Parts: sequence; C-alpha cells; structure tokens
Amino acid sequence: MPPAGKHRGVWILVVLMAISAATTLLGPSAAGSLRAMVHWAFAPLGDAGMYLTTRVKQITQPPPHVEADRAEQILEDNEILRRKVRYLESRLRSTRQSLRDGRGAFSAMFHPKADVPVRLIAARVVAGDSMPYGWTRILNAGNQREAVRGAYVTQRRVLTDRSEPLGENHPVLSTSGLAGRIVESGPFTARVQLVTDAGFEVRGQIRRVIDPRNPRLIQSGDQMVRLEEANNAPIDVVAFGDGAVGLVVPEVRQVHAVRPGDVLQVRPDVGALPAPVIIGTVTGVTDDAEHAGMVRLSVRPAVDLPSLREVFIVVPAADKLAKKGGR
Amino acid sequence: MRWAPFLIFAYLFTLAQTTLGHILMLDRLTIGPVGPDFIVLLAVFIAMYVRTAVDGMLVGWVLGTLIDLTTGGGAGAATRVGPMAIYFALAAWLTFQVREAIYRERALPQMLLAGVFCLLTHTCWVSTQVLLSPPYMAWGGFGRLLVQVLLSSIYTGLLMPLAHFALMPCRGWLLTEPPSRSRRR
Repeated sequence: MPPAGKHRGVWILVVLMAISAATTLLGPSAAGSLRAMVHWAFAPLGDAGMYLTTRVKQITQPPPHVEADRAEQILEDNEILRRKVRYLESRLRSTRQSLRDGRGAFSAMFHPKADVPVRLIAARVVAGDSMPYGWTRILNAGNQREAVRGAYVTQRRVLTDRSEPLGENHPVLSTSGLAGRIVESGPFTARVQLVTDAGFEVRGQIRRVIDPRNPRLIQSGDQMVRLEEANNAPIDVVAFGDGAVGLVVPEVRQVHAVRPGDVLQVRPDVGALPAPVIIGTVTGVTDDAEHAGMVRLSVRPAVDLPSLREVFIVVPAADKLAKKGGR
Repeated sequence: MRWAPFLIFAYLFTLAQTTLGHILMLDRLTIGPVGPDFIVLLAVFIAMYVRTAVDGMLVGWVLGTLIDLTTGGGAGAATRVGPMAIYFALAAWLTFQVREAIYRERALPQMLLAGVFCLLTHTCWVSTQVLLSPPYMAWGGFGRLLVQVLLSSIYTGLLMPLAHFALMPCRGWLLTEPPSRSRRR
C-alpha cells in the first residue's frame, strides 16, 4: 500500500475506534437500537441453522437424573395411582348413567374457562448470541407484529385455556412454561432474554406441592399447623436468572417450609402475564447467609432452553407490561 | 486485503456463530455455557497472514463490531455495542506483531494464538460490560464469568488448527498477497 493509502487507512481506523468508544459510552438503550438495525440481516438465513441446532440439542438432551430413593418412591406412587385409577374406573362406570341424565347441569358446572386477556404471537428462534456468556435469543417477530419490549415469551407447545373450539389433532394442550421476556424489539426481529440470563427478574409465586406421604408443618400465627389445601396460599417471591442453568429465589422465609419439588410460577395479579404460568421447579433450598431466618431457592426452568425453537409472545390486552424486571 | 470477499466471510462466520455455533456450545454446565468463538478463528487467521498491521486492525474492528451487534446478554444487564470492536482491533495488532516469532504452520502455535486472542478480548469485554452496567455483578458471578471465558478460550484454541486448515484454500480470496515466509524455513 502506498504511504498515502496507508495514512488513509490509519485515519479510517482512528475514526472507527472513536465511533466504537462513543457507542460504548452511549449505553444499553442505544445498543438495542443499533442491534435491531442488523438483526434482520441474520433472521432469514439463521432460521435454517437454528432449526438444525435445536434439533441436535433435543436429540442430545441428557435424560433427567433421578436418585434411587426417589425412583423407588415414584414406583410406589405409581402403584397407588394405578389402584386409584382402577377404583375410579369402576366408579365412572356406575355413575355414567346418571351423568347422561344430568348433562345440562354438568355443562353449567364445567363450562369453558374465560379467556386469559392476552394475545399470543407465534414466533421462532432464528439466532442466538455470538458469545456464550448470556442467555438471549433473536425471534423472527418484531414490533411490527406487536412484539413489544417487556412482553413475556412462553414455549410454543403450550396453549392457555381458551373458550374457542380447538380443531382436531391440535398439537398441544399442556401446562405453560415461561421462556423469557422481550428486551429489545426492532421492526422484524426481537431479542428475548431467557429466564436463566443473569439480568432476568420476575415476580413469581411458590406453589407448594402437598404430598400426603410426607406432610410438612408451616407457621400459622403462633402455631405450627399441617400444610393442607385450605392453608396452602402461594408465596409471593422475586426470582432472578443465575446466568448459568437456572434461577435463584432469595429471601424466602424459612417458616414457609418450601421444599425441592415445589413449583415457581408467574404471579398472575401483576405484570404482563395474567396467568400462573410455570417457570420452573425448586431443586434446592439453602440457608440465606445474609438474612437470618430466610432461605435461598434454586430453581430449574420448566422449559428446555438450549433447544428452544417455537415460542409464543404474550401481549396483554391492556397496558399491563411490568415496569420491573428485564432491562 | 480483499474487502468484499472478507465482508461476505465475516457475515457467514457471524451467522454460523449465532446459529450452528450453538451445537458445539456446552450449555448444560453448572458454571454456565461454554462455547467456541468462530469469529476469533477468522480474525486470528487473517491477522496471521494480512499484509499490513492497519489492515489487520480494520479486520479486527469489523469482526468485533459484528460480535457486539449480535450479543445482547452476559453481564447481568444489556450489553453495550463498541468494546469488542476496540479489543479485536488491538488483539489483531498484537497477533500481527508476534506472528513472525512463531511457526504459523504448526498446530500448537495456532492454538496458542487463538486461545490467547480469545482470552484477552473476551476477558476485557466481560470486564468492561460488568463495570459499565450497574447494578454491579457480585464477585462470585464475575468469577464464574471469567471461568467461562477461560474454558471458552481453550475450546476456541483447540479448534484453530481445523479452521486454519479449512481457511488456507480461501486465503487467495481474502488476502491480496501471498503470506510472508515463516521463520521455520
């Protein structure tokens, strides 16, 4: 390169480095806008690559590890449940006739549930982060499809309770699983922050699972009483992504007697998701070293995030997007 | 430096990094995900054979900017665009300076170059993002991130000989001049 060209190259480099320094200082909101401008370039071709990636992740997903004692307990539970099923089947046969007669009353009692006031936008994961240190994904739906910042994202193989009739052979009907929240949105793409990302925050509830074989005592006033359906109110908590493989829930009162196996779900009365969508399962309870009388919960997400592909973006009917959490 | 083919390669490598790269990512470890950085492999390869240091730094800046624009999380808050472009440009200059002192055609020096390039750039990037993003991450979380960086750098370094082998036939498309002779000869 001639000296003039070399000097031009140096000047170009200096200008570019200065631009980088300036954008670094501009902050995350400017970064979100800049990223949204280039995400569309990766979305169309990224779709096929992400399909292959998620398929491989699904195939290579290790089977869930179950302890020997737990496996034995599950086998015993299964036997009890089988007996119950046989008993219920016999009862079902005997009551079927009376059910036919009372069909009208039965329908009135078990009419379809009211719609959750949300709209679901189907989207697909088309790319991930370049660096392995964060848990975010790019979706092929942007703010042109109302995928707005702050909206929650659930796994797509899930439908909420809806009163509209569903077609035959519909692929899913199962419990919901929260995958994350939209943190950046451009015209055609949006970035979802997964529940395990270090910056993820959500207001949730712990739903304690009652096991008659293993009862637990909780504090009620000055007394310790046995936990039953009547006194099993959900415990309001705030959960954070741990940046690795799960979530943590700090500062949970010890007297609530939360155990591994209990469920962390979304608080339906706050935020943008007015339904108790499952976030994960409690896998560990440890003493909170910083707060006496408190415990810290470890939670495994309900959704297999490495193989996340098809999702629903949940857009509330009213302006209920949470101001806390996310970014 | 042939800039048009380079920009196509940069796009393809970024696309691969954000999609197929996740196949190679170990994302079920308790410390967090660990994965290779394909873009580092391209940056190191070009820095090993580019004609001038300025071209090498410009290549580093472009590749670093692409990483910045396709990364959104990792430091407990939204990450900023810009730091990786600076660190990649500086690391490319460093690679350019040391390349004559090593045997570029050997696997071990290639692995070391890529590993150190990745370690330096990623450590600086993670530290910058954490420092610029209050509320600050706890020391435990920062230490975990550094362990992820170290393991990802080793992983990236191990893949460098493969990338070098795959990119050597494309050298003529990317670079305007044959590489200078290695000291080995």
